[in-house]
Amino acid sequence: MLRKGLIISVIIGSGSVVYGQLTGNNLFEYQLGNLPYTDPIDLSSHYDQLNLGYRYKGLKATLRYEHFLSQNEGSSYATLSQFQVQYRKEKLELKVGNFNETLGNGLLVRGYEIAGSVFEEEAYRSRYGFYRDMLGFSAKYSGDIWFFQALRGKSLVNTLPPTLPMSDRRIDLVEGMETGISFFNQTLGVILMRNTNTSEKNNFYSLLFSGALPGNVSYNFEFAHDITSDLPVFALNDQSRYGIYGSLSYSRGTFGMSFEYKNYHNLVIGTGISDPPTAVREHKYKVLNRSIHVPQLVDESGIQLEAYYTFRNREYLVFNYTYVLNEFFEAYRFNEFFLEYSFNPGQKSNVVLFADYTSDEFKSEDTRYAAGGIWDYRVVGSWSAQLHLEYQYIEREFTEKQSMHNGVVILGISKSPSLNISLLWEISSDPYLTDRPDTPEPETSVRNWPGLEASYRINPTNTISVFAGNRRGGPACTSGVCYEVLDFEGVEIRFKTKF
Amino acid sequence: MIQIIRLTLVLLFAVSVQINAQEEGEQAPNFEVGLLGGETFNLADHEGKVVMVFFFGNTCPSCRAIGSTIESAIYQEYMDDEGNLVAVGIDTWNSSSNESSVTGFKNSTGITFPLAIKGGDVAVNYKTTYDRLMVIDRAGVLVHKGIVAASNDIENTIAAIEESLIVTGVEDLFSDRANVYPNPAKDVLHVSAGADIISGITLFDLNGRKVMESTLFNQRAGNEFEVDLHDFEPGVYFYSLETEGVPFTGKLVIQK
Repeated sequence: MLRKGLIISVIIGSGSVVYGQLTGNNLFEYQLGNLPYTDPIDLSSHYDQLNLGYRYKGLKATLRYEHFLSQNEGSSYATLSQFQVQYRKEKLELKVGNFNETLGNGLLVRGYEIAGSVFEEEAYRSRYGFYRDMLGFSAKYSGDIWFFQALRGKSLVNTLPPTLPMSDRRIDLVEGMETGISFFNQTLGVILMRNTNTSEKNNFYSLLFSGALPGNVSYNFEFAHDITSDLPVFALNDQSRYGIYGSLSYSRGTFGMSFEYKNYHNLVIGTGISDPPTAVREHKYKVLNRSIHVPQLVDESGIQLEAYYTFRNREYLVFNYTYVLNEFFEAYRFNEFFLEYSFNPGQKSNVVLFADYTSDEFKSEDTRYAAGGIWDYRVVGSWSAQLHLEYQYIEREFTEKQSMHNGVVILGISKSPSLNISLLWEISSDPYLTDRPDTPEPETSVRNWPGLEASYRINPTNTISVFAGNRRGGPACTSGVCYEVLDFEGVEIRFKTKF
Repeated sequence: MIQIIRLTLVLLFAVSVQINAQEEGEQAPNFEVGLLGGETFNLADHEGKVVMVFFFGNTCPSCRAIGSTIESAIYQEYMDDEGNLVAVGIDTWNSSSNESSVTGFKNSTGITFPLAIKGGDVAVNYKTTYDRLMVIDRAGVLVHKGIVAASNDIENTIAAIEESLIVTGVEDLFSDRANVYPNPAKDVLHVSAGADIISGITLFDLNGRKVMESTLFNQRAGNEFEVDLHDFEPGVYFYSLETEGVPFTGKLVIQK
């Protein structure tokens, strides 16, 4: 009822206001192809996401319409998936409808959207926008020394597709407030949050401290704890639910370093509405991002140390060390050493090299080595060529030791800023990937993913991109959000437009 | 034009495409999945047993993290020699589900109950996803369908298993074996044996806690005895009669 009323208000309002601004963008995607070894095969589908916004003075109304049409029975849908009316005046911001809001550092609740990303849940074979929003309202006041935020909404379970009723996809009711004061470059804050679903009701509080210290040092600290149980509100034992996150950073001129500490215990809230900061580095390199350690909120503690130095001509050196301990029934340790060096060998070239060593007991991968680099060469004018090479060696041991290799080769040309064409080739001997499920015996040969990717910006508002071939999936993390990317073989065409 | 109208109608009503919506209290639809090692698991084969289902993704980190807890805190705790509890894990990540990846999941979690390969269709049919737990009682009724991450659902799953192991809902099947009356009872409960020899009775409260255990010495077919209920608070209880065969269990209401 609320939703219908708001939509009608938006439509009527948009007709009666003369000097407002209408904006929008659209993402259209067509796929013809397969999830390897999965029925149905040669599936033709298309997905479309239309976002419309109308702004008049401090008032803004937005709508999102998504539809997916597939030959696969039960996967298609058409839905008005998001709407929002926002009012902003000076230091006040009000939102009704769908919103992405985060309290504190996201230890208790975090809304997000991976822009331009289309998520597919492979059991349902349905594709949809990748976001975890809330449906309700939020209010925010940001004063000079005092800020306040309150929200109430039902969080989306984004592993369930829009083909299911909203009652199955919005299970957790989140009610929370955050407030704090800032003085002398220091900020103190507090969060109170309640999460309710038919299975449980939990109350949490969180304390926040952040600011700048003398000597170019800044810090950010949050302590979150459950206050539902009879346990003391600072208890750090097996039964309690808590999260601790702290970061300290220092920079002086071209040198900088940062230190992060985290400790999460029993912090899976409801269907998983929180996303605390990851302690590991998010790598842009494919072999490393795919091997990334995904935070385990049941129990995880660890540190991350990073240092960088920037030379002349924007050359730089980065070192990163990460240690994570997960204690479930056994203790699992994760250690990673990463080094990256960027330099310019000549006026037309830029090279970035990396090396990585990781030991990951949770995956029983005691040893992982990786190395590679990206060479970017400016040919003439705005034309340039890229060569991207990555190699990874893994030793995995459960009952017997297995060794495997992963490789990435990308050869590309581009004309800035409109054209990119790349040939991609990935290869792996990982038995998890080489084993064909349609044969009884496990295959041990290598598996290849060759592909061609091209994008062309027709004009500043329209871009078309094409992928053809085999695309390798696997885990990935973007901006602290970790998810599973599916393999794909076939043709994919995307058309993005904005107006 | 007709094509466009058809397409529009498909789009408009696509949301309502039929999915076998399974909710708690409904009869669980049968399913058959291929297991690691080559055998199959058919739900219908386990009628009369309590079935726990763990939906997972073969490399899903949160599923791996909670797998060992499901094995030790649920399966090892509640399985017995009679096989009253049956558990199965179902890999819903179809495209990467194979012998190697599911074996990897099994090894990393230490799970000893059967694991199924490429079972995404079962999750769709039950309108759920990976990292979820589900319990089906002896009568084939879906008594627990986890809506939150499995790590947040252990206690609820255990409660559903305990209740299902106690409350069989199959009193009719055993009516020729024993009779418990009156129900509701006040001060005395009469237990008469039919074909079975009854050697003991145990009472549980709603939380599954044992509140009384009595050993009977008049062990012969057709025996009858009384249980003193004077000290019991009014409420709902569950009883379990020890027999030579499958335990005779049921719900008992005590009124004062």
